[in-house]
Amino acid sequence: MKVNKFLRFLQYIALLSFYFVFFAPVIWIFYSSFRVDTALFSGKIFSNPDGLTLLNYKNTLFVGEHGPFFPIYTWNSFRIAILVVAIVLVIGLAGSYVLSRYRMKARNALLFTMLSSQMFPSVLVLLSVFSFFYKLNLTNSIIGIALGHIIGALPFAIFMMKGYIDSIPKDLDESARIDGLGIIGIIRHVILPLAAPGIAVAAFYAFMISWGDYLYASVISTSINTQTLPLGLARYFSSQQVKWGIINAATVISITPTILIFALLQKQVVSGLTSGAVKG
Amino acid sequence: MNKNKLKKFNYEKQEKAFAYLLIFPVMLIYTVFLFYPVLTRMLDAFTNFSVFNPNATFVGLDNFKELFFNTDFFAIIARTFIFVAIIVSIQYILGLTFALLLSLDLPYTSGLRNFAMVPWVLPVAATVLVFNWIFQPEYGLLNIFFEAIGQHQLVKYWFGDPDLALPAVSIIHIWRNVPFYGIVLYAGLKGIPSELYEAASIDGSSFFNTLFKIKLPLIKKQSIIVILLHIMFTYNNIDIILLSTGGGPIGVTNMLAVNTYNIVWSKLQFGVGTASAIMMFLMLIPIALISIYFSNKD
Repeated sequence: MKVNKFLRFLQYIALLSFYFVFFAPVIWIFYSSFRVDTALFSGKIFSNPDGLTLLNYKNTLFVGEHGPFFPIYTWNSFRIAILVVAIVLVIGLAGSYVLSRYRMKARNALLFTMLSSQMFPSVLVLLSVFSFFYKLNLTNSIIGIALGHIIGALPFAIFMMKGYIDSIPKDLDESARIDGLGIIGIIRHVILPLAAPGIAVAAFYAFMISWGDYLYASVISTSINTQTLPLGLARYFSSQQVKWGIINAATVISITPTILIFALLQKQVVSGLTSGAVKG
Repeated sequence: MNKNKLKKFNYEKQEKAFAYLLIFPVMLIYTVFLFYPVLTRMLDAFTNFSVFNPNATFVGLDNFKELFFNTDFFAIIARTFIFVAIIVSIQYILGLTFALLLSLDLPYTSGLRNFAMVPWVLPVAATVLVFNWIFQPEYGLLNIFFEAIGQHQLVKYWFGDPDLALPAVSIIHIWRNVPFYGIVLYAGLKGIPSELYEAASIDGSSFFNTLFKIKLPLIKKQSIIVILLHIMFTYNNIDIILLSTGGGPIGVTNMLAVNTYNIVWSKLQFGVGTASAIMMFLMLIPIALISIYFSNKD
């Protein structure tokens, strides 16, 4: 079928303008983060008389009132995310295996739990969990923040992994069972290798939820010991003198891990998301 | 023979018990850290509880009365519904356009497709700060750009202008979520057998005819799912507004979720805030029922 050349040209323009709008803000923040204040506040887009430097990064990481805090924010975000990903994968994989392979009352209970947990408005969950943690002395704790992220990430992670496990033939389980493996053995030696792409997507999703969360952390965290990167970013922005150079560099540092991991797993993440969204 | 059967029975029973054990952690976390807190805290709406006043006493419907008659709660409900309806419609139209463009499978562009999801995967707080910088009145990209092309009348005080704060906040919502609509709807369009298109083009069916008669009905399921997901996302979202306008200026971006958050964490009125959260929950039930209906349909 021959397509009109002019029409083709318009189609390219239209598609590329979508990509332009999606990428421009990200490119702009990367570019801004390397510009010095004089260029940043010159009102010009391309002029950089003093060149592009790493000065903003140096100021963010080592200098001034923010210096000592930034590495701590990053470290807190990092260890919470690791904890969340680990727990979501371990208990999520066990749960999704049972969901995929067994037909029993507990299966319905689990499905009901997953579905109904999505129905509470997030602000209702936020204030309930906050008061509860306050009583238990779990506010301002890494565990308290991680629990909120785990609750947020589990339903999707479980549905994701269940989808992949569903596509593994049950005969493989049976032959492993005849070889003398129990459930744990089957999950380790049969399911884990074959469902690896689904597990990777679940891990990415859990990381994305945890690393990107501002709200939970904003109510649970009360001191520098537990403050995460998004809280740090918000704090820079609301400080008396808004230092854009530092904010831009800090923003870039906080989005880089997400972009890198996404770039690595984009195929699996996108196909997982689309099949997940279609299956519900 | 009988003995063997018994052995097998025992083995299966044992395995089933173990399966229960495997889902126990998930059930435990949700029961203890979600359902129990939410259901017990809902009762706070009828007391003068706050974390600083743990000895709560029963106050009946006082918190609801306060919410209904001493705040502009109903105006906020109306504003939120209109906001959600407009945002989700714009997102769907743009997402569908993007999906249709993707489905042309233009040469040399397929490598970009997955990266369209970048806006969706970024941390929301970071996204909002990127837009705060772009919308910054003196040095932000948008105003610099309008100055550079000589359109001085378009240089505005975006988040601070009561007429423009809401469109500016909407742009963040739209930028973040349109890729998700686009990618999911594209997957739906790819699932349509190409014979259907060919038949339509032989019949001389126009673009809009093919769109409304063939494509849209066949991606109905995907459309309903993305729309429901984003009605809930937009309705519940707090952080985009909190970190950009905080609900201002003069309350034009003050939506239900942000308003509830501020009642609790700025005004420290836990009872009234809980009452507001319960109202939000009740208003969400129809949407929740519709999504359960659609997820059970398969």
